[in-house]
Amino acid sequence: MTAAPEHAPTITHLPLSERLKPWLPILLVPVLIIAGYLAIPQTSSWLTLTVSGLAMGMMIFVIASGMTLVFGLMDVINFGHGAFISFGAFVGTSVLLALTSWTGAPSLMLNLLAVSAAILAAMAVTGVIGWGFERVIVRPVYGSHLKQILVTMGGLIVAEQMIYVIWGGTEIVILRPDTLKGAITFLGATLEKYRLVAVAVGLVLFLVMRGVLRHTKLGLIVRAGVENPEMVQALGYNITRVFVGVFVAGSALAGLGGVMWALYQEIITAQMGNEIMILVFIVVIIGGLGSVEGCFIGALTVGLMQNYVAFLEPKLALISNIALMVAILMWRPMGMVPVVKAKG
Amino acid sequence: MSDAILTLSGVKTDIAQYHILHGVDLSVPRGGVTMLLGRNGAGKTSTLRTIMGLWKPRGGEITLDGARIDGLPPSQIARRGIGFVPEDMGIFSDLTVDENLRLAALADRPSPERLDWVFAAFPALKTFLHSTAGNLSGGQKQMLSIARAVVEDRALYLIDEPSKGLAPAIVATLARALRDLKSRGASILMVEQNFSLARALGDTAAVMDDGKIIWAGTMAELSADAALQDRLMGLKLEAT
Repeated sequence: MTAAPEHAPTITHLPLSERLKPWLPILLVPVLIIAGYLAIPQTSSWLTLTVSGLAMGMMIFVIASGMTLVFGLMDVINFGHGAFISFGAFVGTSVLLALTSWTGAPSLMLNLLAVSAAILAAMAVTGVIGWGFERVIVRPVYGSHLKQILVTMGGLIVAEQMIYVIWGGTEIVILRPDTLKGAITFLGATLEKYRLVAVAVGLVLFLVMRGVLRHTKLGLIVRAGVENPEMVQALGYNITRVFVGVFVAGSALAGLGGVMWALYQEIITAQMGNEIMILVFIVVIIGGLGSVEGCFIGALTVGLMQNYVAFLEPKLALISNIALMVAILMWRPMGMVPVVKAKG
Repeated sequence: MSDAILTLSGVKTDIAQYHILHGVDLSVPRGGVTMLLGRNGAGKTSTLRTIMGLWKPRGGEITLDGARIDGLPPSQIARRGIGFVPEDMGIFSDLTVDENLRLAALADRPSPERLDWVFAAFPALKTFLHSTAGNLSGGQKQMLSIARAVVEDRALYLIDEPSKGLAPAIVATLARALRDLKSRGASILMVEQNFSLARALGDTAAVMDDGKIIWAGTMAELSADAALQDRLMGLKLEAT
């Protein structure tokens, strides 16, 4: 038998244009901002709209981030997510109403402490609800989208009725803490303080989620588990426990989004979460399933587009998000930055 | 090499309504390579998957180092010290080679010494360390699959058809690496259809047919007896 030749492969680098291709979606946000600058006559209006759009986008990202984990990574279509948003809003609002001495004080520290307490309480409650939801409603229907839609829709209705039972049927007005009211003026543009807080929260959340998924062992297990759960188990990791954790984290993030959205709207109803779910699905789909980066870019794009279009052509604002989704899916049918490619 | 690291007694496994394993009795000696042979559909892969807990046995006992492992979830069986190379390689194509190796180490990261050994055995993996595993060739994926199993010391390695569909050059690289692993005293249970490779690596052999072990003995015995090979596996090889 003659000796087999040595296996000595080498790497050939792709041309620059090919290497840049995956990063093109990142350019979408700056391109949109520049297009807005060219289309909007006054710079101050453009700046106001841009910051508002980015803040709106960050808010949508906060709300959709949990969904991108649950739908994108675990392939579970969870309509109950809308109920978690509402529950988060109601729990957070109850905490804020109980801490009026902190929210009414003219101290940024006390105000932020009150908001943080509301967020933590909302995340804890929605996390626990999410855990129960996964055990009772979602676990029997893993792998079947139709059943997931049916049972989670049922779960959504039950959860909304629970809100009526606990908090009553009337909407609740919740005012922002004292120092987060009003706006500041910058280069002639009016920037609402709360929107700046939303931008900061969204950015921090994005960096934390990206860091965990990309640079930790837990993130590796989650990403690998999405592709081949059986092999992850054979390597010694309890994937069921990991996926329950992901579901709980996704539900807790819905609670965070609920509190942020409640303070943004300053009025809460049992259906508020359900009403924003269409936007959440649009963002998760155009971002690419399972992609935190895609969800982030998608949310900013949606926020900016909605604000610019509402200013320039108010009637078109009704269809701007759907039109954006159609355009992006024609450009990239798997979404901007798809992660879940290996699934059949 | 006399005591057994793994024993199976009367293991029965069903998949849906099909009875696949009909009472497998097998003993894998510590510090040696046992080749599990047999024609397609004999139940070799099912045996490995049952040991790994990926399929639950309906009956029988499986012990690793004297402790029962049948009925445990696969994650716990892996943590008892079994490294598994599945037939389909089980590569995470969206992760990089580096990430695949990191995930396989139960410690946070593989030790540098162990990685040096892995890269010495499979230099291609070092070349493509930061490339997406899905872009590797079939042979490189098999190297990664084996590297993943051996990236930490394990009590036992289950390796399912490592040479399947690979070019001779790659099979030679794999054989060298497996021989090296064997020389370090590893206990290996390997399914292999390539009889030349099986003969070169195996110390003991077990032949399966119709979900049962129909023969067990030393590899030397089986290699030397062409009639036995023909009777057990339908092989028409020249005895050496």
